Amino acid sequence: MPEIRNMTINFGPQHPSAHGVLRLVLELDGEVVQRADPHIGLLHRGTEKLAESKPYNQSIGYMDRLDYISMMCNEHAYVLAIEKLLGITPPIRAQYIRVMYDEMTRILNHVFWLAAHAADIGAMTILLYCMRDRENILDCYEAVSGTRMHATYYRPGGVYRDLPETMPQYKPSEWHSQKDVEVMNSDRQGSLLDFIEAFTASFPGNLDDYETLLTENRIWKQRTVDIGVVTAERALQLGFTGPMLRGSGVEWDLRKKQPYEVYDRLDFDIVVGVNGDCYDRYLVHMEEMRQSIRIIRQCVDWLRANPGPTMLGCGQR
Amino acid sequence: MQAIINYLHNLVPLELFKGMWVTGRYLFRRKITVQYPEEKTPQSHRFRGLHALRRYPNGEERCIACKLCEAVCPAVAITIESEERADGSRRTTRYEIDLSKCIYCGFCEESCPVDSIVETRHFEYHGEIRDDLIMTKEKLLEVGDLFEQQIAADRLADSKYR
Repeated sequence: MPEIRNMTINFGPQHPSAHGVLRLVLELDGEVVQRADPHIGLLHRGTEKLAESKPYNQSIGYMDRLDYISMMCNEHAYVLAIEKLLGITPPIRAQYIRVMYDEMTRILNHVFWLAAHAADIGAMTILLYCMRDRENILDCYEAVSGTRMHATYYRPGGVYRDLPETMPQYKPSEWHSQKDVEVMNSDRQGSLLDFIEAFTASFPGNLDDYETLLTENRIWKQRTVDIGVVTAERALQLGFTGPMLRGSGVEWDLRKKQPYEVYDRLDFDIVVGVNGDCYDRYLVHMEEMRQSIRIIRQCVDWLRANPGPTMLGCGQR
Repeated sequence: MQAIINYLHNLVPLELFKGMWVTGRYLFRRKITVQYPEEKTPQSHRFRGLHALRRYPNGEERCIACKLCEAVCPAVAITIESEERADGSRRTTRYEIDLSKCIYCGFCEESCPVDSIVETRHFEYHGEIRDDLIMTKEKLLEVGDLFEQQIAADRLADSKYR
């Protein structure tokens, strides 16, 4: 009779957070994890130390790089902290712009999560479709800040510059005729707000496509239903936040419980799961994107109707 | 009865066919792929790429060596040394940007009182050795001369938001 030994392997890559941000050495008995050895600090980049020796505003750019798929939300937390210290409130238009970009960042983040998660579970198509949607939001990022990812757009006291009134356009080439280009540019004729509105119109349809591909899919369900169940109590003990916590059925959302900026003026729902398994968390993420679209639409309408300053103080528009 | 329906449901992978229908439709849709590098995606006039130093139309360099950009740079990528020139004006003798340190935040451009240091739309550059990525004053002015038309047009387009 041969000796049966547990197997020691590296965690991943079949997990969205295993793409270079988390290292676990796992001891497996068959498919059951017996022991996990987390390597804390795999992603440590010394941001705190960098920020220690700098004036406050110079660290904004580093906040983008903390979680590089939800850039503006990190900036937002940092900028809000500075504003709290200073005791200032940015102009209302800047607050709406920030909330709108926060929600676009949420979609950016969830879409990337979906892409990586689905690709890891075996649905490669989703990855390509999701990248297409990300591209549109990254274009919105570039239009306001000049950078596709590390925007440095939020500043203490407002935002960098107001939303532009034109969008850059595709040019005809060997691969795309004038006629193709006209179709590609159809959303880009007006201002950035028009482009965002067109996105909010087309994106829910794409989400439906993803749900058709995944939600009822038997392979997807086999690999997510009843996997990684975390009860509500356990989730609170572990200090979960965000969709992870809501997936376990705890109705907790800072946007509702401790509203900042203009979230208390906007109409949206908190999405919660029931079972706390992987599948519920997936459903929570999908529904959250729809709620984000709702918020973005309200912000677009408000921003259209209310021009004004976007930065406190001296002569800035 | 329900058991039979469930059994049939398990037997026929209906949702998989629905999924195939979704992906199948994309075969006949307009292709959105952009064939980089021959084609490029649209670029905003606020784009922050390679740096440049600008000149006035008469050929005089704009930089007055105030060192605001050096002070504001979060990554400490800018090094400036200055001297009084024969005509009494203060000018840089050394202006270097280390591109391997730069985080492209655009603060140097914002801080500049004379619109001298700017970030152009150019982003396709590389260096084969480290020295290639240290932009000296000569190199920066050269980039500025090369892209001056576009730089000026972009600044004009964004002037009402500044």
